[in-house]
Amino acid sequence: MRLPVLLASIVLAAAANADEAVSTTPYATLYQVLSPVQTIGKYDRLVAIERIESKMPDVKSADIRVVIHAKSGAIAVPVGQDGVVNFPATNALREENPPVETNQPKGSLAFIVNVALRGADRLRVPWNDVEAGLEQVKAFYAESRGATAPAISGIEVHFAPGTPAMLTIEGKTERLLMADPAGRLVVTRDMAPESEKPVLAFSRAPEFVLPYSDEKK
Amino acid sequence: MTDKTSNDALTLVIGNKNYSSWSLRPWLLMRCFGVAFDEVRLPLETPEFETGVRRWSPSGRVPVLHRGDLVVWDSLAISEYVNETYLDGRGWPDGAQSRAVARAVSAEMHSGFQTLRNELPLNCRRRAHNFVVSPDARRDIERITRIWRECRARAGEGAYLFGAFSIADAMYAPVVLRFETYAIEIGEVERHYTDSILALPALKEWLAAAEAEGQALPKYDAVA
Repeated sequence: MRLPVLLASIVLAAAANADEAVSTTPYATLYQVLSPVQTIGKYDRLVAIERIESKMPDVKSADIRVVIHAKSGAIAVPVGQDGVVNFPATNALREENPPVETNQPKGSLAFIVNVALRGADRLRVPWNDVEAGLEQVKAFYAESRGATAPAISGIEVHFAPGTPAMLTIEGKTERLLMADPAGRLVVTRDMAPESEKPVLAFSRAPEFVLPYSDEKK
Repeated sequence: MTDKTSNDALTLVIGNKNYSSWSLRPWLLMRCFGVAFDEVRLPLETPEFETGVRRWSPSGRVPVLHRGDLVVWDSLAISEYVNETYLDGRGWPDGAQSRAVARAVSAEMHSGFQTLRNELPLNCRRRAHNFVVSPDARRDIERITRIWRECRARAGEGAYLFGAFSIADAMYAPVVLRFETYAIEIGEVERHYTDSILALPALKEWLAAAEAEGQALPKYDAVA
């Protein structure tokens, strides 16, 4: 399956009664998902993106509440557009292992961690920079997971959902691409041949840029 | 208008991703708008399909959408239901005139272009070279490309038929794939449009799944 390169994911409180309106998951379980992120700081072109997604069609990111019930007090984890979160990952919390509560039915949420390319705030990005970032993805996988990265064929660009974002690939010719309603589009290497030294020109800054895999799963 | 009285998850029942153009349309719409759903895939022309489709679909065809007790068959009806229930109307373009035209071109796709469908069946894995288009199919192609040029001229901004992605684009996405796989020559405006459709992450996901499907149907694979 062609998908953004995924580091890890978990369904929150999967094995439980789906009718319950609130669910809890042990903090240590989520920390385990976050563990690959701990070593990503040494790669200057990479950043980890943590997201929460609901499988319920009515539920928007803004509807989701996440609270860590630590002994020191409740810690609310804001859920941004596109479900992006910045989950606090500390040894103290890992040792305490408090319950993490959401306001969604058990088993309906997934916590996902992706490796992303830094520099998503720039409006013009030479494709060479993208390739350099994708090289670091391979190195990161080899170091952190002891595995070869999935075969990467390009990038998946994420803009804020619902914004009419566009991307022009400027090479020998220009190709205009438009994000889908969820704010995503994919640029594969065959669309940006290195020989043309293409530049990606964004109509607005993306939220994040993920490596995109051609590998079939 | 909304119908959010139920927490039931959506289930979309589809056929083979390699061959089922009608399945692609609502699937693509829901994926592009981020509407979550469970997918049930029934392999076409197998005993499993015959058994499964009797269970899921009153018409005996796919796609069909289930939500609790509600069953919606037909790709356009599913798209309309999703638009009303989950998209707050964003499935169609802004403006009454644009919406009217978008519905017209979608309906034309829904009920027309039979020759194109018969002679150039959707087959995502195929790469046909030197494919000979019959005069009747050529007329369908010319009509479709004219629709695209007129819609793009009307839309102005954006890259899709009506600017932003809409149900009309989902309806024509299988045609984009046909033009690509049968190497149909098209003009610059149409090429820009197909570029944007082919860059949709959801469409790439569909194509990868089609590539990975093991089942082959000789009557479609024999074309070209």
